[in-house]
Amino acid sequence: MAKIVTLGEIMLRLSTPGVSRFVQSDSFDVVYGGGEANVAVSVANYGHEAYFVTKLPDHEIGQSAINALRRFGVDTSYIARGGERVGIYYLETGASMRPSKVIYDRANSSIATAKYDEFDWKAIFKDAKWFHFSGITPALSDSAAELTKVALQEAKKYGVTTSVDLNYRKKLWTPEKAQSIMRPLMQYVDVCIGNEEDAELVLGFKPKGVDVHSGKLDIQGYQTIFKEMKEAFGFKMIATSLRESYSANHNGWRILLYDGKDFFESKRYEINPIVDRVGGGDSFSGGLIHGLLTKDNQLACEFAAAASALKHTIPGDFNLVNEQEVNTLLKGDASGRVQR
Amino acid sequence: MDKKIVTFGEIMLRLTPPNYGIIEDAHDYLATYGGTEANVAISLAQFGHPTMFVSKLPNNQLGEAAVKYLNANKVDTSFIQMKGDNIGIYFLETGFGIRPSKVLYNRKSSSMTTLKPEELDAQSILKDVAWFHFSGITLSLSNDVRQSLMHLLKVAKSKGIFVSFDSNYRQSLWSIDDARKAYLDVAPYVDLFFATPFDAVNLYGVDAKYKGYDALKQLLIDHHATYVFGYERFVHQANENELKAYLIQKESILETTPIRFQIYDRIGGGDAFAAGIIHKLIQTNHKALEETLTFGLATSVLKHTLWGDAFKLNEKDVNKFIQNQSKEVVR
Repeated sequence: MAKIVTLGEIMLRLSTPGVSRFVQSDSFDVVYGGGEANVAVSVANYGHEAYFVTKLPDHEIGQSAINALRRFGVDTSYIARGGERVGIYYLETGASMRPSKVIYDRANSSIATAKYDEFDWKAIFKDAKWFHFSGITPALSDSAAELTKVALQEAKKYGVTTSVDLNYRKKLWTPEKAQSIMRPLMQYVDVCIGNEEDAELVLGFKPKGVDVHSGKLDIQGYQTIFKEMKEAFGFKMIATSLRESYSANHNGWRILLYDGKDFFESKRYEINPIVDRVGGGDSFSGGLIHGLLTKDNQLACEFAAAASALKHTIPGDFNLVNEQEVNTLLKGDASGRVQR
Repeated sequence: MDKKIVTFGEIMLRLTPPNYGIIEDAHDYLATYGGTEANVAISLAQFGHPTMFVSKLPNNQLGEAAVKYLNANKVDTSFIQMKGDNIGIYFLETGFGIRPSKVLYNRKSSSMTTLKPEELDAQSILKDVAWFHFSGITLSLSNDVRQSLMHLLKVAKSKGIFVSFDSNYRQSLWSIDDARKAYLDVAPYVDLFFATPFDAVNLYGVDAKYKGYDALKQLLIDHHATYVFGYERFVHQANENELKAYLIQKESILETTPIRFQIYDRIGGGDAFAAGIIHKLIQTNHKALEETLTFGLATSVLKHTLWGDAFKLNEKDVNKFIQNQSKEVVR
């Protein structure tokens, strides 16, 4: 199994119990999560040596976030300590036609104010096979953008494969700002994860061969887009999830992967009911990284789809499934029968 | 009791691990809302006063939840500004026996810290108001908040409104030296200080040669105020304390005998004391000071037996407790 490094922010998530609204809650469930931290937990569950790199305050909440990572087998030895606060997000889980709501309170968190020289990049990337980050990390602050750039350059220096989940967050930055930061980073990226919407917002990418605003894209349309993205940014591979949203509890879910030569499409999962969709995209990244490191590309695509479909059934940000459980689903057993 | 009481400050989301658990281990937090001036407002509303809390909260569901909490407790929220990004938070780890409680603040960039004087219609807020109350925590929040407060204090003075100030110095929020300047700025507007001899010397510039109650008497003289109320706390264990209350006037000193008691939740003990004192002063038109002091102490002691920030029992409950204690004020 491989050493896999992810970089980003882990936040304290405060969720209302069940599907209660914020205004009626007398308690919050405590969960820790964040895009890249969720990916680290995913790959740790598949048996990799997962390292999450971030900065957390030297107080009880910071320690609690570290404990949450360690509990699920993520190595936290490269986490810097200091700064003032842990970012927080509040989650009200939707039901049926009522959507979920997220309130962020993450400005000036420790990782947003961290400097790149607070980390020992040589130790971090020595013997590493994969480095993953998302568009959320460079969006946190200018210093976090610089930190991301340095991490990518260092990763490349040590011959590490890199992946990005474009993950546009409109509460963190504008498309103009996002493009000015993200476009120059793409030269260091091997595997790009994101849909045509993210590519337009984060990379300013407008495909010529297909109209993305005409309504529903077909697979042919994605193939055109992926080819053009590869040409524009030099990605080795591109992948996206295709979510069909029928309600807050009922989605269709598929994965598309382009390896620069061939296109792969996973089987389609009907997820109903959804237990917790936060972290669904991250579980896809985690499944894909594991798949690409250990399987052929068709199987990698199927593994990523099955892994992330399963995530939607688990409360919290983390995808707490192992390889065998994912394999059971991708081999066709979606019955949910008790396994004895 | 028809004239209004206005309190001004920040209300935060309070997150407490259940069952005396520690923050590091928490899988869920009990959620309630609190903040010193909001707690005082809630208690005064329970005692039957028309009470308004003035503040600023984010225009999201968490801000709305805080407003609903105040409304549920009979506090008028019509002048709370709904703007800005975040609600302040404090994490409270509840101590037990020899293990002390811990508070962790997360409030530096809250909506309230961005409140500017021009956002407050001081004339309307203070119309038909008899009493204005605030604390040193509000003073510490930001320069904008201090300016807003000065604006309210000036209008309050021009209307002859009685002003009380709970010193409430918090070391984790600012240094003594930063604090002193702000305390000295507001002191001339204050009629009633809740303060300790430590506060008098360190925050209000009283000469260090004055000790104990003499320092508090000097505080009154230096800043032309009417009363200093306060209490002394003896900590036997995290959940067993003893309180003794005092009232200092220029010509006299009143002191209660101490009450020793078990603690269920000590947050808001000082706020309950302030509420008890303000209530009795208004109710008796400042004519029953011994009764006022006893009532304030009893309210505070009872608060320690209640979960959450605010004292929410009524006057009868406090009187019953006083009768049972049958402690007399001694001189």
